[in-house]
Amino acid sequence: MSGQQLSGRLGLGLTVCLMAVIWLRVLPWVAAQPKMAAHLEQLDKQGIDPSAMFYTDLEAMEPILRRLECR
Amino acid sequence: MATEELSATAKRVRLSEFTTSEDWWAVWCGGLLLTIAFAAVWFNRPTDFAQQFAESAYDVKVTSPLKPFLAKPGKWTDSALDAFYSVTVVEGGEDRITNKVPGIFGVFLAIGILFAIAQWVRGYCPAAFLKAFPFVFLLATLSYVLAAHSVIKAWNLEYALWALMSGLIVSNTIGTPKFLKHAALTEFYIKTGLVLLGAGVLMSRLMALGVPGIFVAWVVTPIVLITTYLFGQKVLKIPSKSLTMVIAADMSVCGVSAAIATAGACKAKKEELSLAIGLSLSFTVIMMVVMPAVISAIGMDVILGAAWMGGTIDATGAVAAAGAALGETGLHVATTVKMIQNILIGVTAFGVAVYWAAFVERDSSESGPGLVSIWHGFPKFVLGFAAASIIFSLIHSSIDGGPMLVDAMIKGSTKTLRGWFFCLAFVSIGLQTNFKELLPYLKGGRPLVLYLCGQTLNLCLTLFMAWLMYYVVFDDQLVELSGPEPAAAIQSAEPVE
Repeated sequence: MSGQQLSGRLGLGLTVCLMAVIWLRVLPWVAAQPKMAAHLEQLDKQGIDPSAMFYTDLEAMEPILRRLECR
Repeated sequence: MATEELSATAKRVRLSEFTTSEDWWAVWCGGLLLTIAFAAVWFNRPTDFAQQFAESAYDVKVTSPLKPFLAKPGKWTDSALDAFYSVTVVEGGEDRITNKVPGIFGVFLAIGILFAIAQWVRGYCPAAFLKAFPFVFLLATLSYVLAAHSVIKAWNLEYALWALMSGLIVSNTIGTPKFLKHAALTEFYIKTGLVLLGAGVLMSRLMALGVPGIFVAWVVTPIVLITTYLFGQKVLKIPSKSLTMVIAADMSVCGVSAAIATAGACKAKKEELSLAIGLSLSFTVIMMVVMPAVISAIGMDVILGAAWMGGTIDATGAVAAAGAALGETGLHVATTVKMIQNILIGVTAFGVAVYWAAFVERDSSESGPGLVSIWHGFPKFVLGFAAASIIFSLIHSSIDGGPMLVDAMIKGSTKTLRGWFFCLAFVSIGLQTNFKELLPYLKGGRPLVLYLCGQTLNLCLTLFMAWLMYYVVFDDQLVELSGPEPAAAIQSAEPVE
């Protein structure tokens, strides 16, 4: 195995480990913080997904569209 | 004789385009998926659908039978396994099991088989595609899992970012294995996804906010788009026209989806699309938090503030989150303005495609933009996108219960498939990109300056137009706009706890 291959694999391994720590430890901890937990609950209740790309991806649009279409 | 032979050869070449070109295959694949998706809803509608609609109008339930077979990883907070399989307790103490695995596998089979056939007819090796596709799909699934964490979602960090990142990590560490390139079909995925997106671009929803909404979303947006493009070209002198156009579109129209559509229309490089999306997502996160706070702090009217945010914050989901911070009316107005802008994607993509074919890519030896040269340079998948938009707008507005049928189709199948196509496209971009290739685009920080200047103009012009339309010209429409809480609508914004 060449030096470049070894450093590539090492880089991949380190990145995967770092991501695993962030997603499996840090983010669940952030989500459990009272302020964030309340914010997430509020978003859930309102059917808002802030990462929605298009209006059809947004659950919160459904009642709005119904109301507009019934007008 | 020689002229006739040449003419016959040219005709054969033109006809072969329909079976070999990526653009046309995107139209065929997208068209087939839309046909199947709509037929599934149509034949699954209640037998007395027309009667039910006549009696209870929008209360009729229509669903797509394809929904259980098409899925993406779901939202999770504590355990990543919840993205695939989760048990939640619903009202009444019953357990509700959500298993996404069959749906994800269904998408894998549907796209894998469809694209293998397409590659085979186009003259490529289907076996090579089928060998590589599971790995690309696996990276797309991983990206979706990363994007599905509830905190990541709340921060508006869309799956496009994680898909791009997962591909980049592979290509910039161990290098993308050669065999994977057979399934890294960036443009094919994007174009097919865009044809599916066309079904959601419903012109019939344009008048949702009446004439003032059209002015806020459809007059300001093209002005900002064109001014930003000209500023980037004439003042900042950005070397790439397509990069300037993609940044101008994602900033002025609606973020990532507009960037994808415009990049396809002006044949932008994959690095340019990545850069534009990175800029858009970064500023969206900031604007989503800062704008509602500023609106509340200065006591701006809810409708004015919400229309301002709907017209300026790039991403649709971020607009909803920011609008909701101003209350129910804020959510209603902000998302509806954004929806009208979403619909502008179709016109933008079509206009940019025509402009590019007629003026940017035109052969310099030609005296003017002839129809033939426009047709040659025109990205044909845009026709599929436009056709899907027109057909489903007609179904939506002219068939009894059309809105329910179209919504059921989008929610039950095409929305999920479109997301997967875009996700696969961004994984493919990452797999084909070296970090070093991105550096020249960042040189001098001109794309950032372009975004900042364009967004500043957008903020000023949208605020002025929203004020002019809702408070001067059409002030009588304010109460109608206020949605479920009319009394609060014309009051100053108070932050919602």
